[in-house]
Amino acid sequence: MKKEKFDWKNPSKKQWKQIHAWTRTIIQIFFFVMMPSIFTTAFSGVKYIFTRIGTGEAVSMTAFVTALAAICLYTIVFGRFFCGFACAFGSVGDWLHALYLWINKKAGKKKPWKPDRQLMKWLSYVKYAVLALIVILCFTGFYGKTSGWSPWDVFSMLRSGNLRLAAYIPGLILLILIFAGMFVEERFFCKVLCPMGAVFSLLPILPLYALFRDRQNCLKGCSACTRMCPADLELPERGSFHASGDCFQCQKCIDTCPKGNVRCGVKEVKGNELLFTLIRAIILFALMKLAGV
Amino acid sequence: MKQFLMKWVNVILIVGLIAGYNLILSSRAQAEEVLRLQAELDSANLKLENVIEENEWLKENAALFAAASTSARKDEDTEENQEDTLYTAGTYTGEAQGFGGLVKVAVTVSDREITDITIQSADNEDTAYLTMAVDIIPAILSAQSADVDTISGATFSSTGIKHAVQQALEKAVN
Ligand code: SF4
Ligand code: SF4
Ligand code: SF4
Repeated sequence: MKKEKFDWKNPSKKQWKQIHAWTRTIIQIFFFVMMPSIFTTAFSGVKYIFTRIGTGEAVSMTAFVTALAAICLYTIVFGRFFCGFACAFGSVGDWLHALYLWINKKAGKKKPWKPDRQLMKWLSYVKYAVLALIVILCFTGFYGKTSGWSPWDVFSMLRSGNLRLAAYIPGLILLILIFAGMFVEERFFCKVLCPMGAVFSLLPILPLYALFRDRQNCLKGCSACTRMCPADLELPERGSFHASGDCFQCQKCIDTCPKGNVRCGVKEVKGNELLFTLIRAIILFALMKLAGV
Repeated sequence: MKQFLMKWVNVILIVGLIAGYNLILSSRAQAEEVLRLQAELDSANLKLENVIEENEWLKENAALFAAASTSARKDEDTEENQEDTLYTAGTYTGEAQGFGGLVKVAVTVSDREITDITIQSADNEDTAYLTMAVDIIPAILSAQSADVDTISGATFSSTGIKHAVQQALEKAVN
């Protein structure tokens, strides 16, 4: 947060954009260090539920299920703030992509190569298939036999400094592929493969803190926010209930709009105020601590 | 709006189904418990009858018995005792690889029983996983052996605990 003090009095629009970007990175680093396993823990909840049902045992409120319930509730209220600001996997993806952009810039390339937009749109349905597949594997009890395949396990192992990866070669290869994808395409994994993201996308996100725009106020023919958006979202009209479960709450669109046309469903907040962002991060942190992550 | 409501219906449906499933299971478990207790009661009654019968028989033959059995029994007692001592009583530590590092446990044993297992340190395990994994401890205690199934979902950490207990027990056997 050094940057805030830097020109706190009257930052220009561009500087605000930088401040917001830095705030986001700092929060991401914070969560990466303090709570890197929210994503795997919550998703273990999903796996746990279906494994138990598959074997005919009761589903009790274990630490996994509590974490899953907590993160889902949070997401219903605040949107996928967790994805945008706290997920270790998503954060690493963001950093990889930032590196890609930086390299391109150094190499003097104005427009870094991007995968075809239409293709990405179709691919984004793959995550539901991944979710369904994992759920079925858990339900039928086969999941236990695929233990070497999970790229998340490998990720968590690397992160915690466990390098005994011999039994995890398939998972490691998948992880490297995923990282390659994240490198060229912002949030590739989140859009295309993440089963937890699929769960979030299916949640009924309340139109309170989700983002909307007043389309009639837009510049004619403008699509700046959509082009900036890692999920290629065309934001819904204010007052509708179409808050998209695919929005990561990265909040880049808010600063991008030349007319300041993008804001939360609730009129009082825009969505990227530092205080509001901080409050959401603290609530998330406290909630996850309570849930025992 | 329609989509939004649909999503709500889905979520409520899923949560409802899981809750309903749990309810059915627990009521079934209750019914089974009642049956089990009933069966136990029956067999206990039966045993009681047998004991009473036996007692009467013993009383009738008491005089014959007394002389013959006292000497024999003494030998048996001492022999049994020696066989039954599995461990050297005390507290032993063991360690093994968990998820992110070493898991250290302390195992307390009496001559013939594992009486207590505590985790001394597991710094690199994720909290939620460790919470799940410690469920293996009661399993080990009731099986009186470290050779039990690991906790699914927390395989790494529970395997760590299991192996650490194994190591400690190896030190404890005479
Ligand atoms: S979509 Fe998945 S990987 Fe991406 S930020 Fe969300 S939980 Fe993390
Ligand atoms: S750019 Fe806006 S709409 Fe797109 S993911 Fe980020 S916050 Fe959501
Ligand atoms: S950037 Fe602003 S003006 Fe342009 S389309 Fe988006 S909301 Fe409308």
